[in-house]
Formats: sequence, structure tokens, C-alpha cells
Amino acid sequence: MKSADVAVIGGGAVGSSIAYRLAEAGVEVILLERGSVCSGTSGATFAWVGAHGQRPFSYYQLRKASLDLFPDISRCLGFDVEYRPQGSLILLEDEAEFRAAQREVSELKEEGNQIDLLEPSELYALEPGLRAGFQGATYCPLGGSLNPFRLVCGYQRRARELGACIPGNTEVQEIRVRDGRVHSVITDSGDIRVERVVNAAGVHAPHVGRMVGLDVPVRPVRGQILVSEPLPPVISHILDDVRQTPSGNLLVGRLDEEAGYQNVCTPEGIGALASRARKIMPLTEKVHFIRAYSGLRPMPADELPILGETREVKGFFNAVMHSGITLSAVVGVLMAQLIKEGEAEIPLESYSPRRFQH
Amino acid sequence: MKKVELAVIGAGPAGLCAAIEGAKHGLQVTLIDENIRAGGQLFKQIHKFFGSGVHRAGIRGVDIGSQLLDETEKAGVEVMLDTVVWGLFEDKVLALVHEGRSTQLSAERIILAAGATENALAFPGWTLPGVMGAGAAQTMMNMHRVMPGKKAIMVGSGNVGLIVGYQLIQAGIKLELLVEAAPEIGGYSVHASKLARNGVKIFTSTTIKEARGDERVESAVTVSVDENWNPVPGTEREHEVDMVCLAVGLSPLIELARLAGCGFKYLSELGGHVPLHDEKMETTQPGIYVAGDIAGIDEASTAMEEGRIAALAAAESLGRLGGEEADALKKSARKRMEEFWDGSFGRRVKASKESLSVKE
Repeated sequence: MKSADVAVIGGGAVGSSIAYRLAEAGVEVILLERGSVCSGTSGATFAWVGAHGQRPFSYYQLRKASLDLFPDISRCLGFDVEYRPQGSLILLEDEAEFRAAQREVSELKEEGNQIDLLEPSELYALEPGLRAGFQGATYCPLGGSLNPFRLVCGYQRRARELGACIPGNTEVQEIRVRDGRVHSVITDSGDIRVERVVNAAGVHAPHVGRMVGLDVPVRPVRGQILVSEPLPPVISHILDDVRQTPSGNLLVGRLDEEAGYQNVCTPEGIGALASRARKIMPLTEKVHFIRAYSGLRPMPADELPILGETREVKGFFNAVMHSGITLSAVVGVLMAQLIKEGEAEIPLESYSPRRFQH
Repeated sequence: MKKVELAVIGAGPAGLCAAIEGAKHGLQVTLIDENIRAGGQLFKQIHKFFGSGVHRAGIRGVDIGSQLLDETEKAGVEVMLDTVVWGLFEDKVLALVHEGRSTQLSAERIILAAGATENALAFPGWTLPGVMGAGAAQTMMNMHRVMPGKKAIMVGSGNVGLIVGYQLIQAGIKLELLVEAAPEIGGYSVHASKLARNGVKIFTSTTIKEARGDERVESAVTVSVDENWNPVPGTEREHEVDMVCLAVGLSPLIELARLAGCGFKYLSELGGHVPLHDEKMETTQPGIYVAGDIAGIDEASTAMEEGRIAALAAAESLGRLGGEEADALKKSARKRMEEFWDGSFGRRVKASKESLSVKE
């Protein structure tokens, strides 16, 4: 039987980053992905990496720690992931939203969150292409965007160089547990004897959890994204629902829909996104939209990451979260530390899967 | 939202025949095409079709097109031209755009007859004006009456390369030479002989290496290839031409079948990824059918039969046609296809198509 210290299940941004950091730490790791690179959520994302107004403060700090790694990530991976620091704006549509934002921003600032409130004049100075009439915006200077395909490829390429085994198109069918410990992983291309398993299967994490009889409280939330033809630069920041890629395409996103595992675009969704684009940027009335895609994003029950070993099954770790692209950089580092050393430089207790047990 | 019984997408030979057959059997049919004129590629096909009488052989494509448009009108088919289908959603909802406005159409049955797209070939200079697909040259000459150049080289010796090559000559263009990377001519020898009789040099085991020119094509460099398709150094030859015509195959236009979630198989003989379908032309998505080049690159003659079969199956499934009558009609359409395939080219196509069949 093949063997490895750790089997990471799920080859999206999170699983690939964990495999990379484990390999870097000298751990023998195999990354099991049933599809191909970016065939799931990581290939259908808006790819905004940010921490805009996130709460609680510890979660903001976790995201910020990840954002701090991105400026250097292409160099570390030896592969350009097209990271661009841009900062983000969340537009305020009316007086009421502006007043609510005023209160929230002052609270957040007091906590230590990097965020500012912009008056309309400041907003339009930053983004002159916006439709007139917005009452201002909240602004977060952190983060930006990247190319998620290159990010996941980059993690996997570097992981391979460091000795990780990444067969691709390998589906995990069963996880065997002996005496309360993970023992082996049964795949469609053979069995693998392992000491530990990391469940990084994203929206499919509950399915992997059930293989060892555990509940992983995560549900899929569908997002749809509309892609325009390439345009000259028209916006420079990430707007909550619009960003421009380096090749000039506008991405308009990103609905939050409860649709189970129905990963499809709908005419209603595409229509809503087109209207939203028009409402934000008048120029989109004359722009051709060339493509739309949908993706299922994992949403933990309390919306916070689930990171750590389970109590019931020793050697079984969860690494499941919303905002996997943003968090992937730091989660890779922390999970590798947790698995190898037993603890991570940022305490992960509050993200432990044990918090869901009553 | 507007509702129809049968929506046919693509008004080429397959789509026209599907729409006519569907309407004939009482279906309310909407035929949609993104072009401003129906007929697909038929109206640029000024050559006579092959096959036998039942396949309208001996008739020029352009005349078949006019006949089919006539029949479409008489059959009461609603035709929506200049209309792009940009989406195919759950429950067979089509998203259309016409004159910049988007609308939706719900259909009980859909026949996808979107046709094919020309393959390109990448080489230094391939983006220079004057490099074009053979089909594009044909459209310019035969439909828009525009001379695409004065002296040409044709790349590829399948029937498209041979026939369009001859049409270049008919249009008054000097066809300098035709190159074929394979050691043998790809298409029918009757067409190749016609070119040879007109003084066209035909080089096999030869391909294009480069197109040269500042603002547009001024010359083309060819090179011999060995048995492993590698260029043989020192065999380069420069030809003074202002036009490079590429006839290097077609690929099925399968986007809508992908959106519908159809199953696929890759078959290079049929042009690439082709939707799986059964004898009734139904895909793995119930109620969605394919006909014509989208179901595997072949001739207009078989595309027309496939269109009819798909429409008969749709009419049968909606209760407009008894099983026995439908079977008899489908059988005779299939028989005409089999007869058409009764040659070495056809047998290859037939074998590939059979491997696509969805096992019930």
C-alpha cells in the first residue's frame, strides 16, 4: 500500500496551500483532488483578497495576516499569481447607509481595523467612472485581487518541487479509522496508508466528514459572476461587486444564493448582475458581457473558518472556510505548523471544529 | 415568457430541415439564427452537391437553400433572424438577444443545429490581413461579391480546400499553389483533378511556415515536412501571394450543448468534442437534440437528414406522430444517410458517429 504522513483532500486554494507548506516543512504529503486544477470553487471566484470591515477583530487579524503574505507570494512560489494591491470600496447608496456606516466605521477603527469613511467628493476623486449619486463609501486600503488559477497552480507547482505528491483526478471514496485514529484513505486509484487527513474539500467537506462519521457544519452558497469584454482601465479599486482584471475585463458579482448544490447560472441572476453593473457604472450600458459563471462557496454555520483536529477522530483535521482564496496563504502556514508542531503561531483554538460540540 | 413547442437553433441545412419537418407534423416551431439571412453556409455553396438524387445531388447549395427557405415559409415556421442565443438554462429556457434587447423563450423541445467554426493555424504572420479561413474567402466571394485577393495559396486539401480553391479560380483569383501536410490529398480526387487541370501546383507533405509582409500578406513561405510532421530544413520556398487561405478543418460549435449539460466524447474524425446522442439525435439531456455539424463534422446532405430525424423524434415525443409512422420516417431518413455514407469517407464518419451512440 502507498503511504504518506498526510493526505490533504481537496486541491483548491486552501488544500493546495496546505500541501505546499507541509512539503516545505519536510512532511510527506499527498494532495488528492478528484477533478483538475481549479475545477471547483477556486475556479469560480471573484478573487478579491481583502479584510474590509471584517469582524470579530481576531478574524480580521487572521485575514490581515494572510494579506500580509500576498505581496511576496509570487516570489516565494517562483510563479506570478498576478497579485495587485488595490484596496476596496463598499459604496453607500443613501443617507441611511451613510449614517449606519459612520457608526460602524468608528467602532471598527476603535478596535484597530483599518477602514475609513469617504465623503462623496473623496469617493468620486478616487473613482470618477461611478454613477453620480452615491453618498460615499467605506474604504479599506488592504488587499486587492489576483488570478486564482495562477495562485492554485503556483501552490501546486511549488508543492511538487518540494516533494509533495499531487496525482490529480483522484477521488477519495472512503477513509478508514482504526482505534479512533485515521488509518488509511481509499481512492479510486488505490489505498493510501496515512497518519493524518486534512479535509479541505470546501463545499464538499460535509461529504468527507461523513466518511469518518462526523458532521462538518458547512453549506454551499451560490455566487454568479458576469464577465465583460476587455475595456481600457475604468476602475482601480475593488468595488464590493465590480472589479477589473489586468486584461481589462470587468467582473460583476456576486450573488449570495441558497441553491443547494445547483451550480448553474440563472437568467434571473445574470439579469440582476447586469442591472447592478448599470447602477454602479453607467458605461456598462454600452458594454458587451461575454460570459457568466457560477460557483458554490462554502459557508460554515457561524461563518468563521473551521481549522483544526477533531476530538472524535484523531488525525482528522478540518480546514474549511469561506474566503478561501484570501485565507489560503496564512491557513497553509498555520495548518502546517499545527500538524507538524501541534500548535500554530496564531492561536487557532477559536476556529477549532470542537466549538460546534455541545 | 414566450413558450414554443420546438425551438431550432441555427438555420443552416440541418436547422431548416428540422424546422420544416417539425412544422409538417403539427409542431409550433421557432427557428433562430444569429445571421441576418437564413441558409447557413448553403448560400455560398455555388457548387453541385454529391450523392444521389434523393440527396438533391447535382443541385447547387445555393438552390437547395432557396428551396428550403420556401418550404420553411410554407410550413408556417416562425423565423427569428439576427438573433443570438446566448444562454440555455434549466427547464429549456433560452436567452436571446435581438437588436440589443434580451428576451427569453421557453421551449418544450430544442434542436441544436449551430453548425461549426473554421479552425485556424498559427504561424509567424498569421494575423496579417490576407490570411483567412477558406470559408471566409468563400463568403466574401460568393455572398458579398468581394475579391479577397489576387494571388493565393490554399493550405489544406480536404474537400473545402479543393472546392474553395476552384471557386477562387472561378472568381478570377490566381491560385498559385495548394499545400497539404499529409502525404496524400484529403478530399475527392475529382476536385483535385479539376485544380490540376487549371494549372494549380499541388504539394503534399508540405505546409506553410510563414506569411510575410508589412501591412498585409506579400508572400508565403512553404516547407516540406517529414513523416513525423517535422519541417525539413532547407526545403523552404517563398511564393509571391497576397492571400493565404486556410482550409484546415472545422470544429463543432458546442457551447449551447455544454450549457445544457450534455455528455460529450472527443472524436478527432468528427472535429473534436461532440455531444453524445442516440439514433433519434437526442443528447444525454432529455428533449434536447443535435443535428448537423454540431453532431460531428459531415456534409450538408447528412445534416439535413439528421435535422429531419431530430424533428420527427421531437414530434413523436410530444404525441404528434404515432410510433409506427415516426419509426418508418426516421428509418427512411437514416437509410438515405447510410447510402450517402457508402464511400470510404462516409464509412469513417459513420463508424465515428456510431461510437457516439448513447446506450439506453
